[in-house]
Amino acid sequence: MTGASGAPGIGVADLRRRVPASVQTASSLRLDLTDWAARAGLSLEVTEAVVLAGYEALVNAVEHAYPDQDDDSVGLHATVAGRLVTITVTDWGRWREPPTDPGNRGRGLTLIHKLCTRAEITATDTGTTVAMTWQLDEIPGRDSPTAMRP
Amino acid sequence: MMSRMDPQPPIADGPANPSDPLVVAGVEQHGEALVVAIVGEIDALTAPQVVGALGDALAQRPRVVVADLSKVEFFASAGIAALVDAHQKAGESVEFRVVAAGSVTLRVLELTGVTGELAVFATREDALSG
Repeated sequence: MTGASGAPGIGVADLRRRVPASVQTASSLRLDLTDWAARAGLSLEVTEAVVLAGYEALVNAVEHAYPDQDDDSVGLHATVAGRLVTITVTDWGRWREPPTDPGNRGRGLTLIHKLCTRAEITATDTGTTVAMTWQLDEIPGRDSPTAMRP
Repeated sequence: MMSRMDPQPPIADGPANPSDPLVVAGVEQHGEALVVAIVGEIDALTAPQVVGALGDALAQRPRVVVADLSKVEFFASAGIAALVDAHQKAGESVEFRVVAAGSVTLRVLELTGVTGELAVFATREDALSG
């Protein structure tokens, strides 16, 4: 692919996947997303944020969207247009509100919101879409003290 | 036994598919401390191996257990849950410490607020000297 040269995203094809939802496929889609981010020429920081937030959304769909449904698939779409990266994770199950005890799922959602410029969760009776965008000129979380490395 | 001086990491159950993400946990004894050095990627698929390795170390009831994440290349919320689980298992009698630095691990711990709950150190030397 030619995306690594010049501006991010020039010439990189969208990543589109729809697979049976499982912890295994979530990990495999995570690697697909990492490869796509490299082809798109995204910086290390944006790549880390995109892959982690995308993965947390996938795991959320896998673990919580299908209590008793037949359509158990999960979809992933990654695209970059101009300075905007958009990762969308879709499931066709029923959204369940996070438990009041934050626990692990609460942390996953916290990461999704903190890692991207904007996260939008749309839940309907027929499924849930988590759309995450990154404005490439800003790096969310950069103001955190982690920027200091040893 | 898990405790060993040998730096060669023993493998927790490896994934059947070689393309799957891989995590390896090696255990070393340093005085009264057991260091569980985790190498690889901690996601929802591999986190149970980390829970197992930390649980085995804690079950020996050393004075200190250190989870060294210096060589972790991917760290998801399932990894945080594994650390919180170990912290709870450690209770009063074992000190549970974490080595994390940089964007992959420390930043994720900070973004989720668990740095206030866990004892996090920048290097293994810092963690061992407490």
